[in-house]
Amino acid sequence: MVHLPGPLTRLDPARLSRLFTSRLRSPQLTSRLGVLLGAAVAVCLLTGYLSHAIQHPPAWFYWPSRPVNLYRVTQGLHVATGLAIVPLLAAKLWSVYPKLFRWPPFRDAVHAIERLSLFLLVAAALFQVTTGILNIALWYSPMSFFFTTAHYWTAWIFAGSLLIHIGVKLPIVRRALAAPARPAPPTGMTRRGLFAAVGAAVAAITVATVGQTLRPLAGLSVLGPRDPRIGPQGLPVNQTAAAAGVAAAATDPGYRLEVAGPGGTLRLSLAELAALAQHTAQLPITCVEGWSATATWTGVPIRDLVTAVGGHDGHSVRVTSLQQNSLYRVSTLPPPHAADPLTLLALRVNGEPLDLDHGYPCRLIAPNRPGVLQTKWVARIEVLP
Amino acid sequence: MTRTARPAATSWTRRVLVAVGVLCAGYGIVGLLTDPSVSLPNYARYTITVLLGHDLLVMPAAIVVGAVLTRWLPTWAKATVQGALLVTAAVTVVALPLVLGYGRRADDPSALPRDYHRGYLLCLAVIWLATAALLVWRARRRPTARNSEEHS
Repeated sequence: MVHLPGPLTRLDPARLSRLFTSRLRSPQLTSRLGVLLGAAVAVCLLTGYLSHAIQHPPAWFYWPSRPVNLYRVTQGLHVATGLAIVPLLAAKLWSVYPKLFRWPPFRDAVHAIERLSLFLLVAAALFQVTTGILNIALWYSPMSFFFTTAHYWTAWIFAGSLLIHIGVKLPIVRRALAAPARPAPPTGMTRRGLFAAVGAAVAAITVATVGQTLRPLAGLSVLGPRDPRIGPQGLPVNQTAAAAGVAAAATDPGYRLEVAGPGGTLRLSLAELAALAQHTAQLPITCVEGWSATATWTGVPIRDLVTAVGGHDGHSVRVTSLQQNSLYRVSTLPPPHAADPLTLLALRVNGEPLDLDHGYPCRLIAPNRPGVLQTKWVARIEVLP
Repeated sequence: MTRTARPAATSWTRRVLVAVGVLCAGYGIVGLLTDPSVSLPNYARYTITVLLGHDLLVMPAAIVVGAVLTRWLPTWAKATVQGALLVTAAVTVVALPLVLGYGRRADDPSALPRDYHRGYLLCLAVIWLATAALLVWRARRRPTARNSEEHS
């Protein structure tokens, strides 16, 4: 039914790229899409590296405990921008798609290497976007590798092959962006029309998902993988007590929290913890997957516990969970977070004792920090030398 | 115009971009190859599937579907419907894993808590109602536009 220009006998490799007849494709279009896509990718790479560095801080890295919502903004931006890349990347790849069938495939060795680097670029871009989408949809089975490290290393390949691509194409891009506007094609879509469609797609995707972190839009975000209003005690949960295998240990009446420091070790029951001075703070729980929700947490400031075992501001604090065999069993509070009076060992959320799935008997909640580091079912707190 | 510039014209900016790019990509590749938590054969299989799936299946299918669906439309309506198809395709990519719902967890009602079939249909309804409104507006304005040529 599709009318191909010319008989099918002309489908030889040398003519394949001439099957694409849209007059919308041009270096001008590709360059303009590329600038937008490049900006979006830069946002993803920077916010992604930031999230990585907070979780695995290099020696030179410093991350403050304020503003309280900073990580919430950067990680929300990471996921929202990653989703907005879908229509941008689609349009960009469409605009250069006939070049895939260029014949002969390369002119010389340099050209061959350049085309191979494009394979790396396109593969890395598709990998990052698709694994990101699968990950926020919690659909891990198509990715039979560890998402976190694969997404991280591929980001470096993506960044590198993108820089190579920009370096190679810079003269074409400069010329295209400086060129006077061509007359619009007499029929079909105009460049402005295509940008309007891409913009509409970005807007639709954003409105349909961003309510997972922007609570006022939660009602509109019909495709949000999370709803900040839904979960035990009105708060989403990433890992349940059953999945973590801690239900028995966490509800054991013999539970004691160990607090160790230079001045000795305390062993506190839940009742003894509740008898200490309690503070209340409004803090978000912010998942690396891009959702977040604010709650009112009540508990003992970590700073008070540090002082009680002879530590002081400037120490790092290691927090260990009852959970066994998890990558996130242990997290370390760097000095700014350990000393922040808002950092709590929370016993209550929104006025009730913590639900088992929120980390009963007690959990860590600190400002400006990814949720995976907000250790639940805390067993031990240790002031590091 | 689309010819790659020859190395003779290489400016310092371009050399630095390519050199830094090679370093970054090399760092990522070495990281992938040496990190035991990345299961390489599975990683390679996934990446090749996604790359070939996009280049040889999804993109040609999208082009053909777009061409077929807009073929018999009058010229003045074509671009609007093409745009709506692009929005539909992009929203579908984001919605599909949620609609399929493999990420749901029996013990965690907060994981994928919504009715995504309904959500996806709502998105489609909004996109196509907006498109219909735009088409009506275009149709009314049409006599003043100079779109009397035949469509190609």
